[in-house]
Amino acid sequence: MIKQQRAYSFFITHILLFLVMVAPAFAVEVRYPIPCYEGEELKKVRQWEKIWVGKIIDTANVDKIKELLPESLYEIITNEEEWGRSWFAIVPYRQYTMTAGTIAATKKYSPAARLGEQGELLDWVAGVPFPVPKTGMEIAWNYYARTKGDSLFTNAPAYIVDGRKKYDRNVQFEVWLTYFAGRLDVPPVPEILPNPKQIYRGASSEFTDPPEMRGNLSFQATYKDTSKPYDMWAWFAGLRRVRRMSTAQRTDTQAGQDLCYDDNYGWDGSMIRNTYEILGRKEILVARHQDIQKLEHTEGDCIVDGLQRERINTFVLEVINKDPGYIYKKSIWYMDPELWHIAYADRYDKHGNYWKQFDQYQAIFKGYKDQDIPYQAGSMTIDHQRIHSTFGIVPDSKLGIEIPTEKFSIKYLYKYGR
Amino acid sequence: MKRLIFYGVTVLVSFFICPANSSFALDFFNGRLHDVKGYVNWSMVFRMHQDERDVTVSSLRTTLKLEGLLDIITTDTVDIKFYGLVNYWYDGAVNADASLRRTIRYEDGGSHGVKESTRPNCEEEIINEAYLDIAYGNFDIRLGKQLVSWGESEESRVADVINPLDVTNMIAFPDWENLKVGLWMARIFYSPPNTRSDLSFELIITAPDFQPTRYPPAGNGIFFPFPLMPQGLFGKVLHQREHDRPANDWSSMEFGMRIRGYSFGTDWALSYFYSRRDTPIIDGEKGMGEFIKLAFGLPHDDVYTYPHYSSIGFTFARPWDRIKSVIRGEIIFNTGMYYQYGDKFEFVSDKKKRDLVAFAVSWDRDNMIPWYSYWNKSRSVTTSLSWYHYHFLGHKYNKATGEYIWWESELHRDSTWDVLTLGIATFLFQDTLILLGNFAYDFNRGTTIVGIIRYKPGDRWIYQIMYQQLNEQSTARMANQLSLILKYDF
Repeated sequence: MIKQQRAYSFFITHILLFLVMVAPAFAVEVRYPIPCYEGEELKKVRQWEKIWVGKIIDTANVDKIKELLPESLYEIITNEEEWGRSWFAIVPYRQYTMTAGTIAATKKYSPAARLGEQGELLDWVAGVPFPVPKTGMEIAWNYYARTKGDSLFTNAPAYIVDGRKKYDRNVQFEVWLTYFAGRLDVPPVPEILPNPKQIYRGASSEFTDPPEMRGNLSFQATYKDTSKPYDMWAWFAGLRRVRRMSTAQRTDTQAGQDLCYDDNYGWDGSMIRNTYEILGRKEILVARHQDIQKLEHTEGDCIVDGLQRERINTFVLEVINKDPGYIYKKSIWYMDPELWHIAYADRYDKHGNYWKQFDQYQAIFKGYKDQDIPYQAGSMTIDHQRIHSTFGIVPDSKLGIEIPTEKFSIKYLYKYGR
Repeated sequence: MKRLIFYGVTVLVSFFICPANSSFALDFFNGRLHDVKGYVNWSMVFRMHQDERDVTVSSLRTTLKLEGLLDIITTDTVDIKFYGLVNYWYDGAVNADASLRRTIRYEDGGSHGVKESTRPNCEEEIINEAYLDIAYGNFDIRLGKQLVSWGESEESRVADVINPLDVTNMIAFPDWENLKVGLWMARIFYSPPNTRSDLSFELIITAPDFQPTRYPPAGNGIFFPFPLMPQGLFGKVLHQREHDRPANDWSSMEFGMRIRGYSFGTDWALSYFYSRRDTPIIDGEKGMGEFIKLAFGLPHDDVYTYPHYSSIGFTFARPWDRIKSVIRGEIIFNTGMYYQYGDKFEFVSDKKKRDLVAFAVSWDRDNMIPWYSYWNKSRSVTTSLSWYHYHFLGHKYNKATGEYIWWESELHRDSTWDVLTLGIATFLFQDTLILLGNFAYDFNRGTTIVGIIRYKPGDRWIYQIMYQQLNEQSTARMANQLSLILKYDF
């Protein structure tokens, strides 16, 4: 009897050992990156590009590609009376190159990533958590996980354009950004330690224009605990004080711009503040690999001209904020399936009327170890109700640089505020 | 001639260095001198009520402000910068309004006050800040003339007791940096990394260079509410106050320290400051005797004294997300301060040491008003509701003789003083039109109302109309004013 039991134990132990050793060979390897088009689909796109690449699209010919434009963009190009002449160029689709760190982290950590009961992201460390997303919430977390080179500095000039009175005002600020967690390439990976406050991302900015705002600094902390609200402090030069800001102030605009704090990069709030539903896929023309030198702006013109747009197959999300009093009743996000950023968005006011268009244009910058990193060359937020817009054209950003972590602290505001 | 030169320089600065719609910041010496900015400000102040002085234009001022930052040394271990802020103004009101010139001459006792009211009188008034900023590791040292802001409240100062005020041109609610007098001091900051509660420490030691509150000449500015006094007496009082300033020795030095931290989502600070009163008191019975001699033009000794006191403070600020607000507060305990003790006819018989407890609590909120915010493209109406409470400890009021201790409470007899304020701001048409209002209800005095309309069509020019009304029922209404301001930022 005992001999029999021993034999069974021996047998079962070795079966288990075998499974443990062999099982990884049967595990499904994470496929990443996944191009937007491949195979037959890519061939079809290339066929289409033979006709359209190199063409300038304006009011004269926009009808021929209407099905590849969001309705709001089509309206701007066709309605010259209200918006002036607007145009863009069509360029070939190019797959984004992901950094080595992004690929390695996605393959390593995405199998464990999952959603909690409230839609929160669990068991994730770095990389794209859901390379093949099935729900809108998973796409939203893919967006959240993008670290833009892990750290960056940008000097961001922006235009505030009154399309009716045909004049510009200017805003300019410097931005420093560092991801404390979820890091991909710049050491230390995946997290800067120690991180006693459990910060996910620190953002510090300083206004350099207009003159009355020059010298105003701000610091914003986003936490690893995604249920924890953002914290924000601002140094006001006129008051000579650091002021604690409320999260409610995130829906207020600054300096006459058309976008509020929540609108930065398309969405700069906690992901669990919204619900996300996939409406489907839609092929649209999106500004991806910009040659910034070709972008043009005429004073009083609400639109950036000269954008170079590629045809891609976006995920379309309907995004509704859980706060019934939120400034947008709903938003429609067009998500780039390679970069997982908000390439384009339509926003509706509280009465459901169309209000703002958000159009983001990326360019390739050099990051850590000279790797190519797609990052924002600018974005346009266009108020269709007021014929007004805010947009930036960022000539250069420094990605993957070393930024002292003390820059992302309240002490920094006290130290450098004047 | 000097005036012409000043106006000329102002115009040159405005038009040749500052293109109208471009966005830039002045940089010099290969960018080492940077963040140079400033403004030219033209303001006219009209009195809305005239008394026997019959003054209509109380200020017609052109102000030029310049500031900049110079990088001296920048290495991996040490960073040294120099920051400077200068302010020059010319006020032509005495030329525009003969009644004002006459009033100043009368109340100040001569033409000296007229000259004083037209321009800054010394370099101290022109250089507002000039300091070296030395950053080394976790230490940061600032040496030089500085403005310091402690505390959280905006309308009144509770814990913010470091710098005295310059009230020579009190157009309602200017920025604090335009209202404070810079002090020469050494300021040492120590911010150790990775401390619990994000602690940082600040130490202040001022130079032996006492600065009192800066007043305009008699017959001008804030002295309007008082009825005309015997010729020249007010001027004598102000000059005597200046004369009786403490000597610039060790006794004039002031010390303070502050510990700041962040705990459980709350920013807080604990502070201590040992200082002298910025405004003097009559030095008891002896001082009163000298004051009478002063009033009659007789030889006299010192009348006033600027006694020492200590101020211990605690401030906090915390967002309250449930109600989408930020709650700010501060509380101070002033101990050892001397006050005048006298009767209702302002005959001073003694000075007494007493303690004061004061607190201020503010509720700041961005409010979405249902119809209005929708029309204004989701722009909120910002409100700040504050309560200031002062409690004078050991208050002494003698009902039989009518004697009591004079303190900030206007009626003196009360041991407490409360003020409620409400600030409202709204931004229209993409922030080109800004409407601001401030209402203050002083439980002991009455109301103050300030309304501001600010128009800012572009990046640089600002057009502003401001109306201020004080205590409609008393002589303070003589200070009711309408201000027109044109400002050019560069």
